[in-house]
Amino acid sequence: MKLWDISKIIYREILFKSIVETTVRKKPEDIVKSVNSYMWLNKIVVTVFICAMPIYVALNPSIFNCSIFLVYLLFMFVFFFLQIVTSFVSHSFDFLYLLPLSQRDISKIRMLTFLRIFDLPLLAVVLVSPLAFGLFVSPLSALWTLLGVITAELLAVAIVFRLARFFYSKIAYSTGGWKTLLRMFYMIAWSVSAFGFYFIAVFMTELPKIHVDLRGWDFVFPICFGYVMSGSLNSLALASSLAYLIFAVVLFNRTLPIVNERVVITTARTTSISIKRTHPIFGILKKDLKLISRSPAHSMLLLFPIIEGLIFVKDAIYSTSMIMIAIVLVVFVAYGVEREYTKILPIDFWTLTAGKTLLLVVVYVTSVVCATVVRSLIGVSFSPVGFAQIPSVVAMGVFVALIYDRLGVKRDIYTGMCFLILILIPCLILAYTPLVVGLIVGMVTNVNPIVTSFVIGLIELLTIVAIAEFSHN
Amino acid sequence: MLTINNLTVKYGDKIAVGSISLKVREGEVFGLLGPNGAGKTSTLKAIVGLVPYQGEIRLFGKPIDVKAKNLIGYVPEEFMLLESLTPKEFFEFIASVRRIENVNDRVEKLVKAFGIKQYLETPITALSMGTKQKVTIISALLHDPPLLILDEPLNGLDAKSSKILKEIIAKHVKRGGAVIFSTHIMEIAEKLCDEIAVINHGKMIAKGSIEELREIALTDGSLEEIFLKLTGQMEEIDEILRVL
Repeated sequence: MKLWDISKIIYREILFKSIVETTVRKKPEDIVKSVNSYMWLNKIVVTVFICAMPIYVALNPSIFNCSIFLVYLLFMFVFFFLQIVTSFVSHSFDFLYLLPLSQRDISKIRMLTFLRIFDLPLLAVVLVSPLAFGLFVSPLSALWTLLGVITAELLAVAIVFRLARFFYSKIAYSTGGWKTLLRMFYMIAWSVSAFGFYFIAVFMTELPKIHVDLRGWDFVFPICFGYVMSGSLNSLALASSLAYLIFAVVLFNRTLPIVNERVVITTARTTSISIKRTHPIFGILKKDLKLISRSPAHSMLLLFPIIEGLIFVKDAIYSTSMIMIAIVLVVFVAYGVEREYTKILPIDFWTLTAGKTLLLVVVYVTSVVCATVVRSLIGVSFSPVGFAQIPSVVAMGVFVALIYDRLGVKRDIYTGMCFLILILIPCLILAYTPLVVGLIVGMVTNVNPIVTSFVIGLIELLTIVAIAEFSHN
Repeated sequence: MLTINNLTVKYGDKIAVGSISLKVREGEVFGLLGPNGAGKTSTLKAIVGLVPYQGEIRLFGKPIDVKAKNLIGYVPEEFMLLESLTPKEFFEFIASVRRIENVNDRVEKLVKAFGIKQYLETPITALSMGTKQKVTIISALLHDPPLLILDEPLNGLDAKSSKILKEIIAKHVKRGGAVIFSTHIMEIAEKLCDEIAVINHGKMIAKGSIEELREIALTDGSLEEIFLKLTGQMEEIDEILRVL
């Protein structure tokens, strides 16, 4: 049996486990059947999302746009890879060691399995990008686009596995006392690294507005590729691009042995048996915070709203609306955390919803406070718009709790992309309706838009609570 | 204490449990025996609300709602632990949700009994199978529930912990509690159970005390012999041994 075929078996097993956990009420045979079709649907959604970018850039092929495209591509793959990679680092795949396979073979199987999960988006972007550049720019641009995309993909895989190896045991298994503080530090470092390319992409998007000249930067990745892809060929950009491609290939090859290294989990000595009992709602909050903060894939999402609020900090309304988008990702993750387990405990719908929503409000308020503090530091006047949105955030929480209560779904962002979209749209309607109505009413009348937003948010909340109460009686 | 009437559990079209009825009284250990895939685990899962079912399940005469889950301690066949938490954090969560009074005393006694003090601050995922089982058992006993539902509770336990768990079960029923448990170890069922139900292919094929089961199976042998006769496996074994 070839390594590629073995990787297919493991790939199916991983998908099966990720789905069977969440749909225990389905017949196992139905789950097996639906595993592939569901995964393909997710892959298609992600692929369409990613492939829209190169087509737009090929129609506007400036050095800036081409460079930004590669950074975004790198960020997207890093972001999606990180959703999956920690389960690769944490799973031992012990049965592979029972087979007559070398360590290198096992590494290759694991890497192939990982790539199988992302096969369609990885392949599609490799095909679509050069095709778009070949059609709209030039055949030479198409060739350099192909090399640029391959470089970005290889770098993304290498970076993700190295990040996961470094941070996994530190985030997942440091417990107690000062180690908790240290874990928080690693969690922030992990999130900042994971979102690093996003920061760069946002920063680069701002550069043309301040007329920054890229001359002299043509040896830096991805600007060198920006030059060659856009047709502004020069020898330094050309040589640098080739050098980055070779670097990416070498880094990818050197990452292979890492894929197979096992994470060592350290044990801590017990100091005292002191159990701190709290109210059930806080018990749920505490448990979820611990579970999420120990999952590298989830913990970075917890910091995402804060990061979004700070990136767009100058404008209070824009900053708040970006926080709201990021909050939907937090809702998606937080509400699915270990939901099955609660079925055997005396937790009713409202206690569970209160615990989960409290987590959401804590993350949201922290993000708004951080953005507000930074705004005051840079001299922007205070705006309570973020605080006026709190009822909407709570409404969003109750709404998602209701959906999860009915569907009982728990997935990560990549394998649950379709479900995420299903909750994303109504959540964004709930989030933006108060903002938009507030602004319109403010323009038409003299009523304060923030007061209007707050009132609309309250109405949303009361409506959702009434629906939830009605559906539970 | 626990009454089950016409319990049916289906997974799609497949009937895992078909119209089972039984009663578990105060001060009684009720054993569920059956070959692999007979429907024992599905029956126990239905009682705790982990799988949808048809029929009636009543605890102290009332349907099992959210509040009634505080009257049940459940040890599942497969671990249902929050593995990135430490046992201490896990017990804190259980104690908070179940609003357990004097939880420290209780945890201290149980942790000492099962000898897991040194593992309290180690992530559950890093624990051995036996230690994970001990954490599961402690979390089920923490609130001292009147009904214990134990699905293969001795799995992975060492001799000392098995003995302690058996003593805990005996003490629990002496105080008026009840236990319903499934096991494959016939000697343990024979020693512990006041009443036994034998399930095969989702149907209850016999129920009663060991003496009553002997009468049904027409044998004076051990529980193992009774069980094999009732499930029709005795002939199969004879046939297999002949071929071997």
